[in-house]
Amino acid sequence: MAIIVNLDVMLAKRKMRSNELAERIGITTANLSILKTGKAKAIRFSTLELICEILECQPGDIMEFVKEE
Amino acid sequence: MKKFNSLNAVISFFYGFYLVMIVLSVLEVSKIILNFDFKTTIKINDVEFIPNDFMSKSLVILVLISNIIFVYSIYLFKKTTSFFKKKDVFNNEVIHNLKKIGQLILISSLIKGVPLFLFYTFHISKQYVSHKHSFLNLDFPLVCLAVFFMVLAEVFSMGKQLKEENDLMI
Repeated sequence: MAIIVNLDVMLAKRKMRSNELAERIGITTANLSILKTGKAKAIRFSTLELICEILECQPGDIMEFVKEE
Repeated sequence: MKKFNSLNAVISFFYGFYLVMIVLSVLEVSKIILNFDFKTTIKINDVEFIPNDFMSKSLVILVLISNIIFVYSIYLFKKTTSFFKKKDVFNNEVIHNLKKIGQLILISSLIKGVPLFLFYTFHISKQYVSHKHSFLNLDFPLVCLAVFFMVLAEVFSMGKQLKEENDLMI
């Protein structure tokens, strides 16, 4: 997929564990794992908003577009 | 859920009924095959004949095979509705079963219809009792049902894809 999720990088920068983030967003760790591994097909604005709020970042910090060859 | 239970009961009833009919048909067909002096007229899809030669006996066997295939498709439908009862609607087995039901119904109607048509066309002078015109002897509602099941399988396939996408929306 052309959209790369850099959530683990952001989590490392904020020194936060996946479990904690999942709990604070209100999603399961399994779903957060789907998001982190790039298997997710879509993300709700509300989820994105919560992630940005908790990690104090911009959507662009956790996602990037990479052109596929 | 209540509707599914009653529908499943109806399908189970039809399946049981057809199963009994198939057993009786097998007995009757074996009687026809073994008896070369069979005098009774039988009627299949508006075609009346006395099954006392090889061609008509083969026709009776083909009609029996067609009916067995049809009953098997009812069994598959019964099996599929049990998935619906478990609320497991969009899975590969349901899609596969629906596709198979469509194909089996189509095969069943062709196995019955085409030989009956050939029999009507080429064997008319010798055996026919009834001269009612019959075009191809295909059971058209059954062919429509077969197509419906095939389309339904495609719809379920699309539904499964949409469900997967929905499940992967975080």
